[in-house]
Formats: sequence, structure tokens, C-alpha cells
Amino acid sequence: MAYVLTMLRLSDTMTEGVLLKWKKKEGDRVEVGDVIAEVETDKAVMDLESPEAGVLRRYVILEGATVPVGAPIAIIAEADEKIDEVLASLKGSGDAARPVSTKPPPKVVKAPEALPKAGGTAIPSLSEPAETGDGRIKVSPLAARLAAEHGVKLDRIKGSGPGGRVVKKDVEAVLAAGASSDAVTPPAPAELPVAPYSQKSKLLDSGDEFLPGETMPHSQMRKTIARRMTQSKPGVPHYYLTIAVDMENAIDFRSQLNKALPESDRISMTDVIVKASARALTQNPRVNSSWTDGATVLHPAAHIGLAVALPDGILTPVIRDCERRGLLDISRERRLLTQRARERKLAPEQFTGGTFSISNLGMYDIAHFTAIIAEPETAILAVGMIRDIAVVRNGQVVPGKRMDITMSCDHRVIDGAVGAAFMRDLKGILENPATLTL
Amino acid sequence: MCWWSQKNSRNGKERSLMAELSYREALNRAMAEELARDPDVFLMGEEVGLYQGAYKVSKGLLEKFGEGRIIDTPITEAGFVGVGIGAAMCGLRPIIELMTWNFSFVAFDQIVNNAAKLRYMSGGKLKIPIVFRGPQGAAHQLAAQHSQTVDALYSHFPGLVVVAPATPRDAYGLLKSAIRDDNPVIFLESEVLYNAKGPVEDNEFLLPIGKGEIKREGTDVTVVAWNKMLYVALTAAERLSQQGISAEVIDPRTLRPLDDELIFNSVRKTNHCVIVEESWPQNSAGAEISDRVHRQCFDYLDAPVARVNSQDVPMPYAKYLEHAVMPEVSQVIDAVKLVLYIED
Repeated sequence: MAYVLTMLRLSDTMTEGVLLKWKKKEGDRVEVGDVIAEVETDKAVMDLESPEAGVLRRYVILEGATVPVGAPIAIIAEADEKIDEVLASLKGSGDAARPVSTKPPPKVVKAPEALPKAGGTAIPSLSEPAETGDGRIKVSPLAARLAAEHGVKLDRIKGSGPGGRVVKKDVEAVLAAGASSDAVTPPAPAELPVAPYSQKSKLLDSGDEFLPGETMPHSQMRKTIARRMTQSKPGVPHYYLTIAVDMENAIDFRSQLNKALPESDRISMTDVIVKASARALTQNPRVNSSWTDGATVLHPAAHIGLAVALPDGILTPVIRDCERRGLLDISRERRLLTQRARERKLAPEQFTGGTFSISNLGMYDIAHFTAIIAEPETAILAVGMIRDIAVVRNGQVVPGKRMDITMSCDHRVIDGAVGAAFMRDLKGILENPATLTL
Repeated sequence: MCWWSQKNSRNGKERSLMAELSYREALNRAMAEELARDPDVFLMGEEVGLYQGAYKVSKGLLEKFGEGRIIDTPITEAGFVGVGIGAAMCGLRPIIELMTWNFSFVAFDQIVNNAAKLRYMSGGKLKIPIVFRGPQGAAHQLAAQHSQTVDALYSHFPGLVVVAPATPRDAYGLLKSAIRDDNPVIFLESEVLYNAKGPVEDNEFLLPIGKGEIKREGTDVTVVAWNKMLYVALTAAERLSQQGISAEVIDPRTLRPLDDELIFNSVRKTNHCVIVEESWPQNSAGAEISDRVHRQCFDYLDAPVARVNSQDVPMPYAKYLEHAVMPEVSQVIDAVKLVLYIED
């Protein structure tokens, strides 16, 4: 059976990929796991491995083409197998029985970018949307653009134009109906391993009977809060909590540790903050969460993303299981991941699946700032520099060291008091860092 | 034009700055001014002198400029068009009046093979500063051979400039620019427009070739129309406004070069486009505009561009059939509702 190789989702935020280079030629034998192509995602250049064995019979797109996730890129089949029908089906002729052993590619409306850049040759055109036949959506170009811009799913809209064509006013009607409509999704939906939740499970917001690892179905009140917060600010409704932390103990603590450690294993203040945050997250599980369509996911582990500035952007490598790793372990992992991020050599699992993020701009002498939440996470901590300030202690003005930390919170999940409790706990840990060794 | 002259003219109390001229008078004034300004300019054609023009566009010019500048010719289009092109090659600036554009077909080779291409083929050493002007399109029962529009025909050829003004003001300002242009200009008038009146400033002015104009502002749909069809479009827009539909009417005025951006900007605003033209539908200037809009405004279109044309048949002689063939206001209204997805 001919297999249609599609653009795979190589990162959780990837919606399309640029096929930089074919690593196998037409006619080459490929085994499962063989690298077929290099693909540039939104995060890195990645290898695309074949999920199927056979002969790479035909490229469907050319090098340099940008194609959406799920769009066909090549056909793998036996050497002598006829693939004409498969090729024809890719053109969207809608054959009843597709001799394709893969599930049909998802609906793709942005056709122009899927076009191979070079013309000529016998390569089939992808000018038709990848999914046609029965599932083809008639939509005006303007309506398609509006829908894409606002993250509206076209297949949920009933078109009012001729033959059911979705037109501008149909999209506008959905947008006017607001975020309550299930046709509207956040622009960059990300997939997280979410356990299916049961409507019969415990009622939400009735207390603290939910434990990390469980999902909490949205109550009506929670849905209302979510809708209203989202209406008030497009996308994730942010609010910000700032607290000043006395860092003198933390500085002492860190220098004590470093005296016992070789140069190459020096603990950084960031490591201390990561570990302290992980501890605070275990104490405040609702902050270590994700917002999804049907439920809030409470993550059982604290996978902490650390924003790393690159010349052309930001990567957020994720240090996993920080709640149960020691400081030294976290420090070593942090150093390794940061290095790999700078070299743009992170594997997908090294920058995906975070549950909480930290952005530290202290080294740039930034005293205070706010960071933007990376969906589907629900919070991010912005860390400023440690500064010498005058503090009043026992009625005397004395020098002190303070660090402003600001958490951006997703109000759909984290209400003010929940976020504040986390901040209070985090401050407490950082001011008594010896507890981190427990 | 200053605001109070406009106001006075509307009140019928205009003093000196704004006159109501007919399309015919505007063309006559433009030619008279250019003949007076530049001794190289001359007018040539059938009955332009003694008879003062088949449609009286050259009225009074013979008297004022004499037989050396206003030249009557025999019925020999290929001949006098060719003579005009030769004169232009030698540095004169002829205006060639074609009694109607239907007669240009016997001078087609002169226009498209000589006038259009000599500047290119001489490596720029020759200029062809000539204006071919005359009426086109259906008038009143002139039948199949005398009712054609040539918009698409001449705008097909590189080397030709094609102007098709609709108002007396545009006719005046564009004819003066055409006479001063160093390229051959196809200047398309309309018999039924010759009596159309409109304000034209008393002071001299030129209008740039290649620039269109928004004739009526609107927000819901862009209607592109030129020459005679501008009035059909404006009437349709007025009726649509009574139904709460705001149509923006754009007159490109020049078909080659075309003022794309004016049209594109409007379509990007309204998301809908209707093109109204007197020509037959196939391979028309409107087809070209439609193609450009589809390609350049694709992501802004909420519906395919609609076109309103004459019926795809030779023009009948019978009066009622003539009306049945020509684009009508009701068809424009229907086309607007089609692209706006409004059902009656």
C-alpha cells in the first residue's frame, strides 16, 4: 500500500514547516526512522524521520516549500507499485476509495503557501486545498483570511453564500458571538497530553479535592470567568503580581554551595529561582497548569521552561521534573540545555511540554518587567536584578538586597488570590533557601 | 477649483471661474487652446473644417486657425491616419479625428503597426506625438457596424495610450495632456456624451494620463466604470444608496496605463467589485481589470468580481433590441447585490 508521508508536527506550536532539504532521493529505499528530510519549524531545524518503510517514490513538494502540518510531502511505496491513483487523489479529486494507508490529512485552507515554489516538472500541484472531495470548505478568500487571523475554525461555520460559501459576514457573526463559540480557538493551539476527563468527576471550585495529575472540568462559573477575561483582553487575559524578595540569604546560600563545588558546577541564582519555583508550584498546583478546551489540566510535575535569548528570537528549553531534582542536577541540566539552545540543537522534547516558565532579565540590569504567557501554560515569572536598596529594619535605615519578581497570570485559571499565594510562598522559599536542600 | 466657485456654479450664479460646458465644447476648447499654444499642433479628418466636424467638435476652428491647421480629408482613413503618423514622425503634433472609431479598422495597420511601434523600433529616436480621437460605442440606432467599442482592441497594444473620459472636465483636461504627450494616444469619446454638460474651470488645467478618479465615495462595493458607462454606474449607485447600499464608483479615465492602485485600494476597503463596460464580455478591458483585482486583492475579496457588459451579439438596429443589448442600471444593481450576497 502506498503511504502518503505528510508534514509531521515536530514541535507543539508548529503549524507549518519549510522543507529545507531532501535527505533521500526519489527511488531510494527508506526504513522506519530513516531521516528523509530536513524541516525548519518555528523553533529549529529538525530531521523528519520516516514512519514507514518502502521506496521513496515521489516528492510531492520541492525543497524550499512551506507546507502546513498534515499536508502531503512525499509518497512511499513498493518499488513496482502503481502510485498514479494516489497522486491523483492528492490533487483533491475526491476518489471514493483512496488507496492510501494513512488517515486523510487535516483540512487545510491556506493553499497558496503549499504550492511548490518552482514550476514545471511532473510534480503534482497542491493548489487545491489538501483536503477536498467531501470535506472541502467553500470560503471566500477574505473570509478565509479573517478566519485564519482570528483562529476561527471554518468547518464549524455555516456559510450563507452560494453553495454554502463562507463569506465575511459569516465569520464576523461568529466573532461577534465571542469566544463562547466553540468555532473560535486560540490562534496557536498546542497539543498537550491531556487525560480524558469525565463530566461525572468532582465539581469544580468546590474546594481543594483536586490533586496534581487530575483534570478539573470547567464549571459554569469558570467558563464565564474565562469568557469575560478573554473578552477584556484578546487571547490570554493577563494580570500581573509583583513582589520584592529579600535576597541576602539566597546570596549567602549560593556562595556557601559554590564554595563546595568545582568551577564547572557553579550554581547560578537562576538555578536557585528554578528550584524555588518548583517547590512553590508543588505547594500551589493550580499555577502549574494548562488551559484546554474542556478542562484545566493540573500537571503532576514541574517542567520549567527557561527563556533563552538568541540573536533571532527566544527559545525556552524545559528542565523537567524540577520538583524532585536537586539543585546541582538542575544546574547541570540548565547549562546543557542553554548551550544546546544557543547552538539551535535542541530536540523537540527539550523545548516542549513546559508547565511554567521563567524569564530572567536581571543580567541586563532590568529591575522590573512583565513577561507574556506562553500558551497553554498559565503563568510566567519575570525575574529582575538584585539591587541594593535602603530598607527599614527595627526603625533603622539599613542597606538591603531586593529582587522584584513579577508573575503574569492567566486569569482564566489563576485568580488573584491563587497567584498571590504562590508569590508569597515563593518569596518565603527564596528568603529561607536552606529549605531547598531538604 | 475653489470651493466657492463650485458653490456658485451649483446655484446657477457662476461668475468667471467655472462654466458649465458640454463634453463637445470641452473638447473644442481643449483643441483651440492647444492649437493657439503650439504651432506644431494641427487637426485633420473628414469634415473637420468647412462642416465643422460631423459632431461639431471642431466648430469655429477653421475660421480661427485656417486651412493650414484644420485640414479636411477625403474618406481615406488608411491614408490620412498614415499621413498624420508621418507628420508626427517629422515633429508635428497632429490630432486625427476619426468620424467614429468604427472607421479606424481600415487604418488599423497604421495605428497598431506604425503609430504604436515606431518609437520602440527606432530605439527611441522617433517620437509619435499624435492623438486619434472620435466617438465610439452605440449611439442611436447606428446598427452593428457603427456601434462598437474599441477599448480592449487598442489597449491590447503596447505603445498606445488609451484614454476614455466620461465628463466634460475630464475630456478637456485629458485631451490637452494627450496632445502634449509624445506617444500616440487613442482618445475615446462617445456620441451620446457630446451633449452631456458639466462644470469645467475657466482657467487652463491639465489632467494626468494614467490617473483615475473616485467619482462617488462608498464603503460596500467598488463599481468600476468609464466613458458612457460611468453615468449608468452613478445612477445605479444612487438607487443603491436608497436601499442602504453604499457603492464607491471609480472612473479609471485611462485604460492604458491603468490606475490599478486606485481600484485596488478601493476594493481592499469594500471587499467587493463590479465592473461595468459597454464592450462585449470576452477579452474586454473589464476582463483585464477583473483579473488584476483577483490577483492583487485576492485576500480582500469576499466574492468573485462581477462584470456587466453588453450582450455578446452584434448590435441590432431595432431601438428596443439596442436597449436590450446595452448594459442597464438594473443589471448593475443586480450585480452589486450578487457580489454582496443580497437576495431579493
